[in-house]
Formats: sequence, structure tokens, C-alpha cells
Amino acid sequence: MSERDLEPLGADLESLLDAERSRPHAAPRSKDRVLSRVHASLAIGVLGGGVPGGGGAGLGADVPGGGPVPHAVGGAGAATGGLLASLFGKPLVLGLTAFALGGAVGAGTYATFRPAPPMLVAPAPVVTASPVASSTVEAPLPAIEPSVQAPADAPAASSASSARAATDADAGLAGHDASLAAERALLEVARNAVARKESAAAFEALGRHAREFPRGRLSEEREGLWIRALIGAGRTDEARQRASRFKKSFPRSMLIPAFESALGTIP
Amino acid sequence: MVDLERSHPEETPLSAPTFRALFEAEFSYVFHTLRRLGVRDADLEDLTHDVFVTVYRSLPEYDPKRPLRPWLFGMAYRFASDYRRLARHRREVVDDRRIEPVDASPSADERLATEQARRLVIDALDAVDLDRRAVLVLHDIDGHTMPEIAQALAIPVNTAYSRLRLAREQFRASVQRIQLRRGER
Repeated sequence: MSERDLEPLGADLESLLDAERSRPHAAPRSKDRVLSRVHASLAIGVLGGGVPGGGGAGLGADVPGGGPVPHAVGGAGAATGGLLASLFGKPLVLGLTAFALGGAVGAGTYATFRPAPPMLVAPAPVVTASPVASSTVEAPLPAIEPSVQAPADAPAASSASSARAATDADAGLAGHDASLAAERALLEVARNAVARKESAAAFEALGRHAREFPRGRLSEEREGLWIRALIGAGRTDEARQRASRFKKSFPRSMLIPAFESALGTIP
Repeated sequence: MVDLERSHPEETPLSAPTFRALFEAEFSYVFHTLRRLGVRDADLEDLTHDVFVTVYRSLPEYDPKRPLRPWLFGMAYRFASDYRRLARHRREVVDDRRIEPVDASPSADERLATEQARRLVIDALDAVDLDRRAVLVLHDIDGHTMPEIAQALAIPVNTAYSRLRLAREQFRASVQRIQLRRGER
């Protein structure tokens, strides 16, 4: 069969298709929103990549399957509060907000009078005040579960939509979407905390993600953030160990150069 | 530091496009392709995001000797295919009320007519089976050759021709149905 064997479209259909061919570019705001979300999904924003028109650490978490999508907000705290509110409800958010503020003030005061303290020591009052935070910070590093490494020719297995192919059952797919949204929300909390150098909050969110989604689709992003958090906390040896394991689990990850660069500057 | 301005580290820096440049150049193409493959307006950004995340991770496998857009189309097609499996994502009733003229100037009339034609194309495409529609979009809208299409969709060239023939039949019938419903014929 060849082009000659095909029946021509006809002038009327050609005219219609001409209109579609000349479709103008998509809205720039739409492009900026998607670019911001790509940054967030790849954990690039926290690794230093700028986002045109975006909010850096305030990148919004997307919610697959519809519903309101929180976008970039001016303050990282507001973004975190919103995400926490959606996850845990307002009372707990208030508590956590007070907890975080108290921790930040305490840590800042402590740092003023004792320069360059170890990050695990500085927020000690915060850690000991909360069994959850304490157990998270002191918990052994969970194993890396490389479940999101994408085969090159199977992109559907790699990212946000990978689970959509898993089943035709809407309920199951909706569950996957909700699960992915929960993963992203947790990592957004961690990302914001890392950007603000709030190590305890970062480890808490990352630890929770590791517990709840040990084989999560965003485990690569989680591990990337974890290494950044360790570097930020001054726990360089742990960061190096984790980075080494990360490279074995995700040998093709785009995040590797960033770790190596950051760790390479530390004696 | 990693950012989107850089080439993928496993790329050949001088021959492969940077992701950021690719995103800037091809965002609209991916966005419109997904629309043509049946993704609802409300979901276009979500799916475009998904495609570009995959593109980012797949750049090392991209062969710069091959045309870029069929490669991108192949990814968009897979995501659209998954998306379409969900009953809740299937397009519902064609709603002509979406088009609202803002003024009566000749240029506005022309723009309205063009936009109505685009709506008609999208609505008519929705009645075409997805695997056939992919070939029609690549060939009759994007202007790719059959060998490129066959490679992008991983199908034999003869199959691509067959799908195009059937797609055109379905598309033509769908256009006529919609025009009859609208009283245009």
C-alpha cells in the first residue's frame, strides 16, 4: 500500500484540518505551570534549578485525577501548611505549625549562642518533644526501593501516570492516583523543609514517606531529597553512604550529578 | 548542580537538545497532540507534565538522527492511551456552547470560524479509534511520512496505511454526523 492508494481527504476536510494545523501555541501560563511541576516531580527545584515564574521551594503539589491543584505560593510555610491541612486536618496543622515555629525559634536561639552546632543537636528540644520526630530522626535509613526507575522504552512505568496502566478498574486507578498525590504531598513537605534547612521536618516527612511508601513511585525523588537533607544537616558521611547506595539503585538518575557536585565541595 | 538548562548528562552535549530547549520548543506540540488524542482540556496540563517527565528520563535513548516529534508523539500516545482506558476520562457530550463570540468585527468572525473548525476537528477525532487516530494526526495534521509514523508507533508501514485509510473514513463520517447535528448540512 502507498500514498496513491489512499482516497484523498477532500477540500472540506482539508480546510478543517488546516484550521487545526494552524492552532496557536499553548498559553504561556500553562507552559510555566507545567514546567514548575516538572521541576518539582524531578526534585530539581530543590537542587538548584530555577523555575521561570515559579515559586522555587513553594512549588505546588499536583493532584492527579482532578480536584483543585495547589500551585506556587509566596511563602513556603503557607505551602507546607496547606499541604499539611489537606493531609491531616486543621487541628494537627496548628499543632505542627506551632511545633515548627517553636523549633525554629529554639534552634535559632541555640545557634546564636553556639555557632556551628551539629544539626542533630541544635533542634534537640524539638526532637525530644515529639516521639514522632525523634523516632524519625534517629531511625535507621530505610532501604532504597528502586521501583520508579524507568525503562527507556516503557515510559508509562516511569512517572506520574505509570499506575494508570496497571488496571482497567477505575477504583484501582483512583486509588493509585490518590496514593501518588499523597506521595507528592509528603515529598513537597520534605522539599520545602530542605529548602528552609529545617532538617528535622525534612527527615520527618521523608521518614514518613519511606514508611508509608517503601516501594513508592517517587522513591527516587525521596532518596534524592534525603541525601540533600543529610548534606544540609552536616551529616556528610551518611550522605555519602546514601548517595553511594542511590547510585547503585538508580544508576541513570539525573539527580546523581547534583549529589556528587554537592558532596565534592565538602572536605 | 542540576537544572533544566543542561543537557542530560548521558547525552552528547553538542548534538542532543537540552531538555529545557526541548520543553520550550515542543510544549505546545505535546499539549495539542494530547488534545487531539482525546485528553480533556482540564487534564491537558497533568498529562503534558507526565509526558515531559518521561521525556526527561528518556532523553539518553533519543537518537538525534531521528525526527523529534514522532518520538514525542509516541510518548504522548502511550499516556493518552492509558488515560483513555478510564471511562471517566472519555469525552462526554459535545458542547457547542463553549464557543462564545466576544465581538462582531470581521476579524473576530474569522477567528470564531477558525475556532469552530478546530472544535469540529477535535470532536470528530474523538469518534476515531485511538490507534487509527494516532496515524491520522501524525500524517494529516503533523505531516509526517509513513515510515516515520510506523517507527514512532512501532507498527509495520502497511499497518499504518491501513489505519490511516480507516481513520479517514471514520473521521469523515464523524464530521458529517456532527455537522448534521448542528444543522450545518
